[in-house]
Amino acid sequence: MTALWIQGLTKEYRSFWTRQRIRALDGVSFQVPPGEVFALLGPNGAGKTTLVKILLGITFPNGGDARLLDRPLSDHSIRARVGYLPENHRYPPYLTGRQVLDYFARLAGIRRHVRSKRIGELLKLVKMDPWGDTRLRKYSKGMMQRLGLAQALVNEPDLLILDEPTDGVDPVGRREIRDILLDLKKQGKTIFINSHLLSEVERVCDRAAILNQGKLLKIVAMEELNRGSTLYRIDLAEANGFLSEVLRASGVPFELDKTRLTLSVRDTAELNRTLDRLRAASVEIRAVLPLQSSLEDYFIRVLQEDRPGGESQVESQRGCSP
Amino acid sequence: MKTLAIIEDTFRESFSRLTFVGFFVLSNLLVLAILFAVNLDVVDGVLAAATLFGKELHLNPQHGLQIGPIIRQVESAFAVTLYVMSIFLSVFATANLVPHMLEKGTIDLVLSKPLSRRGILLAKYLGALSVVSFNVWYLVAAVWLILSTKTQVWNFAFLAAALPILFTFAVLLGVVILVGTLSGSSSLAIMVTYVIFFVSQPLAAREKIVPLLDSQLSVTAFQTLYWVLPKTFELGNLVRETALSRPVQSWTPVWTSGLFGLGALVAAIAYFERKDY
Ligand SMILES: Nc1ncnc2c1ncn2[C@@H]1O[C@H](COP(=O)(O)OP(=O)(O)O)[C@@H](O)[C@H]1O
Ligand SMILES: [Mg+2]
Repeated sequence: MTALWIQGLTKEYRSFWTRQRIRALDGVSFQVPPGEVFALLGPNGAGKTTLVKILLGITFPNGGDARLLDRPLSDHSIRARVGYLPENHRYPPYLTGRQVLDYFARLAGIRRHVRSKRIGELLKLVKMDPWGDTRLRKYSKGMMQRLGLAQALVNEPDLLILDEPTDGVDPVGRREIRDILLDLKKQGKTIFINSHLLSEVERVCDRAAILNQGKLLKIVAMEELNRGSTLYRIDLAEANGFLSEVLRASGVPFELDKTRLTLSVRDTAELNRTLDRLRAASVEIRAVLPLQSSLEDYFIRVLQEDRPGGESQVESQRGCSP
Repeated sequence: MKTLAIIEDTFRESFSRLTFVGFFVLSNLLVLAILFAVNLDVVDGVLAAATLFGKELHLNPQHGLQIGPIIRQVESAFAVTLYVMSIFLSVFATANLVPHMLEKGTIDLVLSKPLSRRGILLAKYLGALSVVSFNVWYLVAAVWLILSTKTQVWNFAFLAAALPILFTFAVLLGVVILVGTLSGSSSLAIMVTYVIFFVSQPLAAREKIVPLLDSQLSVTAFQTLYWVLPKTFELGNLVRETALSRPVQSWTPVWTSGLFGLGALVAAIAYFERKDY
């Protein structure tokens, strides 16, 4: 069983007037097992929202296939088990928070006696209970986002799909949302988050996929990212022609940008061994700085590699390659 | 149950909007105007004196007039007024329901629920029709009640005139929803619907106009338009005839118009089912 199964998903937007084509998704494939928290990362315009809209039947793909909780997308009844927080969600301003939750719960097919109890709990969960009977006209952006999260949870979904959930929320609110997500994760829910705010998802997610210009570049498990390698930045006095040779021979993954060298080592022993080799090749070292290996670094590195001509600007090579 | 939720929400949305509240207020003003403007003195079933909007109607007291037929005539005139007014205001008040639902952020949420697209649009149609039905029945019944209590003539046929009014609206609502779905613009939906409403009058006079057309092509075009477009002019006559409790002379305008409304609704659903949002 998979919570989400995506195979070769492709979407091209065609403008009727200008006949311009935008390839928002280009053969994207991945799977999310149940209980996983999965983040889809990418810069603005990468195609994250498009992917989510296809999953929820809001937009139709040009190619490829996808399954939601093992059902084809054409089966709209499966959405009763899915919660969704859209990117720019708008709710009827003439309703109160409680009425909004009740309305969408009804659309999800939740029975009346279940609804009222559940809505009370949810308003508490997102700390909106004092505002439940206020009309939405008076809500701030952050309050709307909290209400949106409550709305996404109103049918007790097995799969939660959130598009930029912390957008427009203040730092305290962000932490609260993160805590709610961690709590849901403990309950075994599958969560799919779209975000361009990496530090937000880093603490919550199990795996992250990086999307750029409609293409899936990498999928990385957080464990992998935090485990083995620690990054060090080494400033050199001058660029040395033999440097790449020496480093390749050492078998340590590295990146070299003129006089700035980034090493990815398993431990300090490996760091020292590598430094010895550099010294032996009479490379003059100015500084050695430990870098936090974070999702953000990884993200930026992956995107740089994807840039046209990115390979030449930043020489990057895994140590094991020939 | 989900359809009911959407219909209920259409009511809430309508009554939260100025256009619809305006419709309701105008309706009440009309009712009040009739309440004060129509003054009839009825003595033993015979009209002794009448004022309409403050103007004395000159009646010959010797002969007197049988009140029933006069009241029916007055009421049938009111029925046609209500027909035009209800259609106008109802189209205006409901034109924004679909475009509003299609706005970014609103449509995403609705479509992400376990509903079929067809069901969503049909529920929206039914919602708009229910809100308007509520208002039209209210208006017709209030006018009827005032006229009847004032004249003591209880002409139930006047109430039945609400049916052709609502039928015509149901047909035009198909157009409103089609244009709203295609364009997302309420102004365009209103414009197109009004044009269709007005063009029906010259089209209905085709017996007089067709001989004036010089080419076969324009004759065919004229006839085609007549047969395809809803016949709101004839339906207006039907409203009058109903209020006069005359039998329906021809059902053709009814079923051809109904077919057009149905076609518009089916086209709207077909488009909505394929559209990317
Ligand atoms: N409805 C649309 N019509 C045309 N182009 C669109 C539409 N929606 C998105 N796009 C384009 O598709 C690309 C991906 O957009 P989107 O999925 O919103 O990216 P993200 O959510 O990652 O910021 C962008 O280039 C955007 O301009
Ligand atoms: Mg987006």
